[in-house]
Amino acid sequence: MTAELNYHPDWELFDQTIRQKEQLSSWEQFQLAYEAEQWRAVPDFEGLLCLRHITGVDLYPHQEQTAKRVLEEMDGRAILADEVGLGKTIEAGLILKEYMVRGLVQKALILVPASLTGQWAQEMQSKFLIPAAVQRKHYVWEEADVVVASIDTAKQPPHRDIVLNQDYDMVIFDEAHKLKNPKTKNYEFARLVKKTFCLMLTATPVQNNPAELYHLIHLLKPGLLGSQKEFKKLFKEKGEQEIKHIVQQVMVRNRRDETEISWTKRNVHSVYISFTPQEQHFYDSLNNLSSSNGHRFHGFTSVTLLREACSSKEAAYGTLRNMYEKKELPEETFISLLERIQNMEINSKAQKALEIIQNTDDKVVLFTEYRSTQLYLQWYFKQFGILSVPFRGGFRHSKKEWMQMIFRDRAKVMIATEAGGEGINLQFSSTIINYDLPWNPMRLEQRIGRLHRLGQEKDVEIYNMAVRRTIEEHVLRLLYEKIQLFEHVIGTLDTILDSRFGREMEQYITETMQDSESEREIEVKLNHLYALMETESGQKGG
Amino acid sequence: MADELLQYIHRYFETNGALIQHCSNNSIQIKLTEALDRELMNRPFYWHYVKKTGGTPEPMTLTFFTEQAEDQAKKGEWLHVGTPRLHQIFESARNKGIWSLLYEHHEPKQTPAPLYPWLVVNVKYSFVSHQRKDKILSYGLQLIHGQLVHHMMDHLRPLQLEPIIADHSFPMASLIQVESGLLRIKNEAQRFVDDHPDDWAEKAEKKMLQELALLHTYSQAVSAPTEDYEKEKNDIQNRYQPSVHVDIINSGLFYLSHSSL
Repeated sequence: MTAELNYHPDWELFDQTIRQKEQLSSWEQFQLAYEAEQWRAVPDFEGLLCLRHITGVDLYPHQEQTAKRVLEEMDGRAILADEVGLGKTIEAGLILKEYMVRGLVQKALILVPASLTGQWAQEMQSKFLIPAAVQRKHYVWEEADVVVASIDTAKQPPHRDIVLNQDYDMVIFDEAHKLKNPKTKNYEFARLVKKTFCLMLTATPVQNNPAELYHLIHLLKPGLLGSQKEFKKLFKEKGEQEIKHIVQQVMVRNRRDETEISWTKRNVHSVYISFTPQEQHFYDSLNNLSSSNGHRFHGFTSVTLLREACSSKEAAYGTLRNMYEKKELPEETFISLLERIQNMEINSKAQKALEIIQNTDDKVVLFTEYRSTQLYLQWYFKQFGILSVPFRGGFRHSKKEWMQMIFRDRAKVMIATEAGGEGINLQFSSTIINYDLPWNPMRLEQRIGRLHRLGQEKDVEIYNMAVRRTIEEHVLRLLYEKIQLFEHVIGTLDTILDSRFGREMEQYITETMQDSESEREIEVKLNHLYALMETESGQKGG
Repeated sequence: MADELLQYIHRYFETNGALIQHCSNNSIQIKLTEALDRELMNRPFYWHYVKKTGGTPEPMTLTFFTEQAEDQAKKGEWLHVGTPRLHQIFESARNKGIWSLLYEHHEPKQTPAPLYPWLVVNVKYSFVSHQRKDKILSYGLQLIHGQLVHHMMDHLRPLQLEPIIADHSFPMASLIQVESGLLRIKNEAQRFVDDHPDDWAEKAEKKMLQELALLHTYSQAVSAPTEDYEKEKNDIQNRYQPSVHVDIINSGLFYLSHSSL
């Protein structure tokens, strides 16, 4: 027998510990003790025992399979790299719970972005009955068995030494793609922390670039890919296929179209609005600013102004005022623009948005890029008896939840300036108005992902708004409509693009808008971008 | 399963002196005793305060439901195998049932009737590596002629066992001392472990050696510092090192009418 054999000290100290100190128990008590151990015993090496320990969580087949695979084939060290929206947190919770039920994990550390600590703890508690303590001011490293903390806190002295002194049975890293670079403090910390089992969660599709995975895998299984030199050689000689094969030993990546979940549809509607003559006049005069003399502002500002003017005069006013105060705008120009603003009575886009809202029985989530627009719309909708709640990324988690609750129970509309980050789930609503379109398609996808996710029962109606004869029309008509990104099943995007590419796109569009001298030039450039994306998606998604 | 749990905690609270105030198919309400309140409710300040001020102690009342309450107004705890409360109760039950001295009450054919001494030991084996499996076995050893019986709890279950001997019975003296009896059972446990298939341990060890080899090769190739190497080695060993743990769940001296089973 290769296993080491341990007898409990009771075998040796029978007389002292058992027969003398303990009270004599009744027959019933004797049986209850025996039965308690039967309840607690682990009947087999394999299988998911924890399933009977959790109820009230609807598990999808791919989540159970993932947990089984990590436990039985990967021996509890794995990268969970599902596409967005498939429930990586659930998978991690399942695996942690299973190890706890089996008595293999007592002490666990969950390292997540600071903004998500509370939510992780809450989810572990409510879904898996795992009492998890959040590391805030009071030190919980030693006293709590399961701790949720941000890596930025944990790696700082004096926390650092305490944490590195603990023997963790399991460490979970959320957003693990941030641990790609071995030269960072975070990476070093992740390497040093003592961990028996380890899960790394990442949504970024790194699988297609195994080189990026080298350091991540090194944290899980040091030496699996050899030294970096050997790895590069292997990569050159055997190619990507061979690497992928190795990577699959430590990584699970579920794709939406491979899961058995039936997703509801996305119905995308382009809504074009025409400005009133006054609005058009204001927009045109802003457009002329950049070509007229006497201003000292950057092309970027002028693009910003034009985008704001498409949203609301309130949004544009803020920027204009700012420019005026900074002396980037001559007084007479400022005053004449101000007069134009005062003459505008109607916001055509807001009118159209109101119409959409009034024509649906559904609750509506409206996204705008600007806070002034957010405020304005709240006021505007209220004039028509429509209650709305604001939502901003900067809200604290408790306030976000509060707003989410009011929206669910009382308000017809939620007006959000940001997708609100992970964790805000709005699947009780199925209508989105993209009042302003972000130029980063990843952000558009994130917005939609808040509603179109596991648990959404209805088809999702997506209204993309754009004002004719403005830069908005270009972006919607030439780009978003063409690539039809959002028509497909939820978030095909993240298989095509990673977040870096999304930001690059935004920059490209901005530059196109500010530097192009003609409509034709804009069209050519955006076509070029579209072609680029197609190639990219062909390579990656294909 | 929920019903079994409900029965279980019903028995647990009843036998430990709590008052069952209400019990139905899917719920139970229990008025705790002071001892149970102190043990389960974790409110030392309350008890300190009551004792200091000489107030009337008021142990808490617990309510359990076997189904998660849809009706939020229902006050009570959800009785479920995964809840910390249930594990607290299991732990408490275990502590209250460690050692027993019991006599069988039966209708003897002739009196006075002899009762034979049996040492009962319930053992939990845990096979642990990166996975885990437990096995519970119940042994009984007759302390006069040394018969060793398996599934002892099953033999005991139908009997009426009481802490005080019946008038018409008398206990036979043991020839085998409890300590040496325990040793015999330990040898039996050793035999069980030896005979138990160990493919699981070999598999775990093989995996461990593979990972250690990878780590070793890597560390040599990049001349990694010894402490880094040792740390990773430790992590790997912690995960895979196979071991068997043999624990005594509980034990007792039982005087039974049967000389052998």
